[in-house]
Amino acid sequence: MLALAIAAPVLAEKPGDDNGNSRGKGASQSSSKADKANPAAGNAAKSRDNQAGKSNRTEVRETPSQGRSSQGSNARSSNAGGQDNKGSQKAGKSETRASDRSDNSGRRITKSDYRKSDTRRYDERGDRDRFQFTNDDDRRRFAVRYDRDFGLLSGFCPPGLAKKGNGCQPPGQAKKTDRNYLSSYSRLRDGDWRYYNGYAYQYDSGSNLINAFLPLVGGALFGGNKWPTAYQDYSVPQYYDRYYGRNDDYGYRYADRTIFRVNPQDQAIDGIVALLTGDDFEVGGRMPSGYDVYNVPHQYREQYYDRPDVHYRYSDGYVYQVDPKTRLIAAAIQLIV
Amino acid sequence: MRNRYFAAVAAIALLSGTSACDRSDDPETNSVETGQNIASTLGGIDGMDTANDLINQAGLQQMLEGEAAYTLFLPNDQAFATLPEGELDWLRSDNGRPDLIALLRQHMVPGTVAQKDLEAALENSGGTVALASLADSPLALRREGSTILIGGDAAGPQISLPPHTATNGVVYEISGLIQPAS
Repeated sequence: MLALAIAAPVLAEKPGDDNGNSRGKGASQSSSKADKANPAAGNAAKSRDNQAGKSNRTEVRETPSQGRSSQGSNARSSNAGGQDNKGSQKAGKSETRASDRSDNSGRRITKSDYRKSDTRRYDERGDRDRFQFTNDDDRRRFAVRYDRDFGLLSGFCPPGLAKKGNGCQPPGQAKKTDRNYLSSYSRLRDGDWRYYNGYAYQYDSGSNLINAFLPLVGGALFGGNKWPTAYQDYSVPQYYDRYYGRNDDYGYRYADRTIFRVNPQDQAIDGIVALLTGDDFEVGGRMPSGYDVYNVPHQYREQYYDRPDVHYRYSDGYVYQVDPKTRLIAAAIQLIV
Repeated sequence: MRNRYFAAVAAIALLSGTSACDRSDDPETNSVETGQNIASTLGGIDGMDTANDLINQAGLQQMLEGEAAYTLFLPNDQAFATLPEGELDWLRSDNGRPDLIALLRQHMVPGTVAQKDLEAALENSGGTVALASLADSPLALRREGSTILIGGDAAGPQISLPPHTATNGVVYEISGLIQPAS
């Protein structure tokens, strides 16, 4: 089984042609299934029949004080689900926040740690493993925040563009993004962003050079293209490997709230397996806005149904138990173990 | 697949004396239960050919065949026909695919949002609810009389009921495109 991995930008200098963006045939290959992209995929294909059996087993994450500061703290249950565990899943009393928590070595992980990771070259971030998470849910939140905050690339040039001074020579055919739906991306709202050949480029108005760029989902990040080497792996929950990837032999990588299936042999993107909200659910914290309506998937509704004292909401592969009065999240429930 | 689904819906409609559009298989959930995943369900809905084509062009069919649940609010063919000239061609092009995926994200929310739960939430919250989308901003849904609209604009997309309930989510047909939040 291959662990799911997050795209973490490499800030080291790299040759411009080393980003693996072989555009052009993506569309025609976009629907390629596992056996098309990978001749050996027949061995990798998973039986979906197994899903039913998996679906009835749940992993319930307890409050931060119970779950994050001790080893093996995940409370597992079989079939009982949220109902039987309700007694131990009262709204989190601890107010521990993801931006100020302990890793399993006892050191506090703070917001500055997230930011420090981006200011060093990748090969200088060899100590990234110091972020030892005690559970998948912590790892998921770190991955989403890391990508959201640091997904832009700089310090080298994208494929086909020449380096010039402190930036890159812009492509002549680049279009502005303000006439299309990409402009709705919050990360592309600030600055002069243009789009060309699967990337968004940020222009420096002073030098008229590119000072940052972003591989786009559906562009550089799409089936048939090679996963950009500038995006390295960052381990995120194996749970997503199980839930979205069905534990097959592919690699799963995360970028821009999207999970991609990637052939581990040639790093070719096979396809998109999930789009995520990236919403920040944290046990003990308040539920994000946008979850006014009960939305638990069909097969889990007998286990997780709203009652006067407890609500359940689904997001990004988890069911969250929420106090309807305080909107505090009492538990994050994995749907497949 | 598409023909089988149509045939089943048409047969039930004939037997019940109602049209395929206004009937409901399940009175409790107020929906057309398709027994298929979202990708297959979408391919069988009359008047949603453009949306289905765009989902395929975006490479999202694999996702919509999977375990995870999504609810889609997708414009019908008439809605796509109102786009400015060249817009649909752009969305269907390889270069326009990042734009297409950004657009489609605005029309998708996580989980299974059944009509009965949506109606109950609208009732309990004074007629307006927010749904987290797969884009940056949540969708605002509101009830006006007997209709449910998306967004704050009086001419915003209207939801056609009942929805089509798939094994891994729900597909609602809407009358217009959901525009990006400014």
